[in-house]
Amino acid sequence: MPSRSSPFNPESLLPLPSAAFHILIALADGDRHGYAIMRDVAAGTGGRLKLNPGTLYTTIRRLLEQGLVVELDERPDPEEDDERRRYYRLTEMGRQVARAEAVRLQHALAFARQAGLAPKRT
Amino acid sequence: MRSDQLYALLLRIYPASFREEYEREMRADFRRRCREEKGTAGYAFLWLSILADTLLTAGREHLDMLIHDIRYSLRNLRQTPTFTAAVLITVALGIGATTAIYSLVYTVLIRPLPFTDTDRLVRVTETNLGRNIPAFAASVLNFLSWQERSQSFEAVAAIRSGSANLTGDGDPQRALTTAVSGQFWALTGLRPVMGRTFTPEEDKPGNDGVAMLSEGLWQERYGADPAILGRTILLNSQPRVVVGIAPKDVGYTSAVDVWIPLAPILKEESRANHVINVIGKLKPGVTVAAADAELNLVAERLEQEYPQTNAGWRVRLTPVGEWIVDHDSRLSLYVLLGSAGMLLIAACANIAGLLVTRATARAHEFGIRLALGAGSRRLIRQLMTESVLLAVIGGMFGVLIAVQAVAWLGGSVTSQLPRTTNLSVDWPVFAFAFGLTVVVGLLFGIAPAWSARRADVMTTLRSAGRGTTGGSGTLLRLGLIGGQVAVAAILVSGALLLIQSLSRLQKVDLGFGPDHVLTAGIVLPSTKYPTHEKAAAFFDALLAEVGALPGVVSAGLTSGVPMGGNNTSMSVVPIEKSAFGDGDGIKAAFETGAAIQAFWRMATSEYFRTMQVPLRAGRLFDPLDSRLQIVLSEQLARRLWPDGTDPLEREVKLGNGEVLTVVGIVGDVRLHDLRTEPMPTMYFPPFYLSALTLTVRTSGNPQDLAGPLREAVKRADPAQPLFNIRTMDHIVEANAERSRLQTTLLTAFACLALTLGAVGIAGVVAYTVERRALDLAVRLALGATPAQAMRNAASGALKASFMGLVVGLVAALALGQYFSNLLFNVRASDPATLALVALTLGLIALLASWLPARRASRIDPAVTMRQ
Repeated sequence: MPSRSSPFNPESLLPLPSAAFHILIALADGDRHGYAIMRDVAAGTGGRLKLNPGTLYTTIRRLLEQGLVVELDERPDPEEDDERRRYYRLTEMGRQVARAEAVRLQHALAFARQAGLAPKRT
Repeated sequence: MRSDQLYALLLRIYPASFREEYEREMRADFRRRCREEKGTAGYAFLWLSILADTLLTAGREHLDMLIHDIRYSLRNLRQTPTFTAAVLITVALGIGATTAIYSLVYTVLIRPLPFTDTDRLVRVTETNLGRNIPAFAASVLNFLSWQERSQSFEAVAAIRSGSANLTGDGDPQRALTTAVSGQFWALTGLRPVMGRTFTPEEDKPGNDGVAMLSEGLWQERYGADPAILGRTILLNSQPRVVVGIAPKDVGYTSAVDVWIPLAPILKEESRANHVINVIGKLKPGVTVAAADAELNLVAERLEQEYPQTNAGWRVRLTPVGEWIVDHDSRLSLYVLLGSAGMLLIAACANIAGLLVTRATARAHEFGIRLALGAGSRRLIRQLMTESVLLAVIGGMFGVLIAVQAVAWLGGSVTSQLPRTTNLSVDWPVFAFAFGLTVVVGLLFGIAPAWSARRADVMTTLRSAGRGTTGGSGTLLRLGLIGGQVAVAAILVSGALLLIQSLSRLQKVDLGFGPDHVLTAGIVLPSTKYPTHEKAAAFFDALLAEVGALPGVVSAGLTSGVPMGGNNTSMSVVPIEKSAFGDGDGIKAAFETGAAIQAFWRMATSEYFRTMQVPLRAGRLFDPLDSRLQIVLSEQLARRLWPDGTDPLEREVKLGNGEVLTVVGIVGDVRLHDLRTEPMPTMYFPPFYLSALTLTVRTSGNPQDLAGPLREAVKRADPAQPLFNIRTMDHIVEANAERSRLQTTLLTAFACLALTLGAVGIAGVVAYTVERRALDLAVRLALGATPAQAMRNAASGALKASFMGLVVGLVAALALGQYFSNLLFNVRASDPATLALVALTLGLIALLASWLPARRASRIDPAVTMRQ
C-alpha cells in the first residue's frame, strides 16, 4: 500500500497482474459494476479473457485496498439495473498505474520485435 | 435454483469478511453467467472453470489475510518486547518439557519393538507360589519338555545371558554374552546386519564353535571391519568363528557383546537349575490365556514325573511388551508425561491471562478497527493468528530446549529405563511438538478471543476511553489464576512426595557400609583353571597381592555384591524338619512353612569385614573346619527356628540335597535394591571358584585403587581381565538413579509451575489495582485505610488462589493412589506434605499479591480523582 507521506510512484505496483490491468482498462472510459467489467473485458479481448467472479472480486478487493479504484455511493445507471449493484470508478492513481503498465508492456513489445519475436508494426 | 445454492455453498470457503462484502454480487454475476451459457457442455465447462477459480482465489485470499495478520501481529509484538519475551519463554519451557518427556515416552512405549508379529510373542517364566516365587527363570530341561509337548506355540526359544573373556586379538576384554537356542532368530524375526544367524546344527554341543558379534562390539573393537566374518575369536579360550553381526536393537536388552548358540549339554543340566529366559511365539489365533492354561497342564505332568525338582513349579505367560517395559517404568513415564502436560496447561493459562490483559489494554485499538468496518470475526481471527504465531515461535525455541534436554536425559536415563540406548528426537516427536504447538496456540488464543467476541463499537470505545472494561475479562483471569494454582498444588505435592521418598531411600539402613569399598569382577576360564585347586591358588595369590597394596584395609571375595543383580535363591530347611531325599518332603516342608526360599551368596570371611556386615553370633568360615559350613542372615535364622532355638551348630538341608552346619549369624543386608526389604539370605564359602567379585576396603579414595588393583591381577595372571570396576557407593547410588531423575524432573516442573502461578497472581492484582484506581481512590477519600484498600485490590486473586489450592489438593489426593508405587516410605495422602503444600502456596499467593497491592495503598485520592 502506498504510504501517505512519500509521493506516489506508480512504477512501484508494476507489473500488474493481467486481471488487474484489464479491470483498470475496463474502468478507464466510465464507471462500471462487476458484471459489466467482466463483459467488457471479454469483449475487449475478443473473448480470450473471461474473468470468473472469484478472480474479479478478489482483484477488485485488492485494487480498492491499493486505492486504484473506489466504490461509488450512487448508482449512475438506475434503469439498466436489474438488482442492487455496486459500481466502481478508476482513481487518478489507478489511471497512472494503468498508464505505466501500458508503457511497460509497450517497451516489452518493442524489445520482442527487435528480437524478431513479434511482427513489425505496419 | 439448485446451482445457485450450490454456488453459495462453494463461496463459504472464502474468508467471512470477503464473503460479507462480495457474496451478493458474485451470486448475481454467477446467475447471469448461467443464463448466458447454452448446452450441457458449456454449462459443465462454466462450472469447472468457476470451481477452479474459486479454489485458487479463495486460497490466495486466505493466504493474503494470514500474511497481513502475521505482519500486523509481528509489528504489535515488537512494540511490547517484555510481554512478547515473557510469552515466548513460557511457551518454550512448556513445549520443551512436554516434548522432551514425550520423546522418552515415544522411545520406550510407542516405538515399535524390532520383532515381527510382536503381538504373538510371549515370555514364559516359571513360578512357584508355594515358595513365594511369582516369576523365575526356567530350567533348560523344562524348556525342552515344553518345546516337545506344548501345542500352543509356533516356536519357543531360550536365552541365557552370561559373560566371557574375549581374548586373542588385542587387550583381553570382558564380553557380555547371550546364548540363544536354534529358533531364536526365526521366532523374533530379528535379522543380522551382516552375515548369517546360527543353523539348527550349530545348536548342538561340539558344533557350536560359532559366534555373532553385536553391532556395537563390532564397531568398537573391530572398527566395523567387514572382513571380520569368517575370522576366529577366542571366547573363554574357546575358538569361535564369527558368522554374522547382530543388530544393536534387539528389543529386550542392549547389553550383549557376543551371541553364541545355547547348545545345551543335557547330562549336565538339572530341572532345578533355573537359568534361562524363554520366549515363545503363539500359533495364530491362540490367546495368551489359552496357551497359559495348556502349558500349565504340561507343567503339572512334569511335576508328577519329576517331583524332586518340579514340585510346585508352574508357568506364567506375559506378552513381551509387558516384559520389556515393566509396570513401574510405564508408571514412571506416565507420571512424568502427566506432570509435563500439567506444566504446559499452567503455561497456557498463564499466557491466556497475559493475552486477556493485553486484549483489554488494546480495547481502544479494537474499537477503532470495529469502527473502520472490521467484523468481530475478523478481530478474533487476528487474535488467534497472533496467539498461534506466538506459540509457533515459542514452540521452535521449545524444540531446541527439548533437543538439549533429550541429550541430557540420554546420558542419565539409559541405565534406568529400558529401550533408551538410542534416545533421540525423531520425526514423530517433531510432529507431536508441532501439533502440540498449534493446539497450545489455539488454546491460549481462545481466552482473549472470548473476551473480544461481543466487541461492539460503542461500548468498546466508550469504556476504553475511561481505561476500564466490563468484568468478564477479570472473571476469566481469576479463573485462570485458580487453574494455575491448582496445577502448581498438584505438581508441588508430587515433587514433595518424591523428594521425601528419595531422601528416605538414601537414608535407608543398608545392612552394610558402602563407603570406601571398591569392587571388581573376575571370571576364570575353565580351560585354564580346570580344577578347584588351580582356581583357589590364583585367588589366594591375588588376595595376598591385593592385601599388600598400600591403602588396602581388607579384601574379600563374593559371588555377588549387594544390589549388583544376579540374585538366585534356593530352598533351605532345618534338617530335623525335612524328609530325606523326597520331593514330597520338601513340598510338605514348604506347606508347613518349615522350609524357606532363601537367597544365597558365596563369600569369604574377609568379605563380611570388608563390607562391614556385622557378625551377630558364632563365627565366620574356618578353613580348618572340614565340615560343610553355612552362615545365615538374622532373618533367615529367625524364620527357620521361629521358636527361638539357637541355630549355631545345627544342620540345614538345601534344595540341592546338601547338608550344612550353621556356624554363624550375620546382620541382614538389602541385597536387591534400596526399596526391597532385606530377604532371608545364606552364605557359603566360595567352593565354586570361577566367577567372583573382589571387594576391597580402602583407607583413602577407593577410586584411586583401580589402577594398582589391575596391576595386582596382572601379576597373578597377565591374561586375566578385571571388569566392572566400581565403587560400592556408585552401585548404591545407581540404584537410586531413577528415583533421583524422576524427583529432579518433577521438582523442576513444580518450581516452574509455582513461578508461573506467582507471576499470574501478581499480574492479576497489579491489573486490578490499575483498573480500579478510581474506585480505590474514592474509598480512600471516604476514609478507608491503606490496608483496607490493599485487601480490596487483592481479595479476588486470593479467593481464586484459595479455590485453586483446594481443587489442587483434592486432585493431588485423588491422583496419589495411582502413583503410590513410585513412593518409598511415604503415603500419597501424607498430611504433613499436604499441609506444607498448602502453606507454601498460600504464602506465595500472599506475597505475589501483596507486592502489587502495595500500590493500592499508595494511591493519592486527590491526584487520581483529578485525572
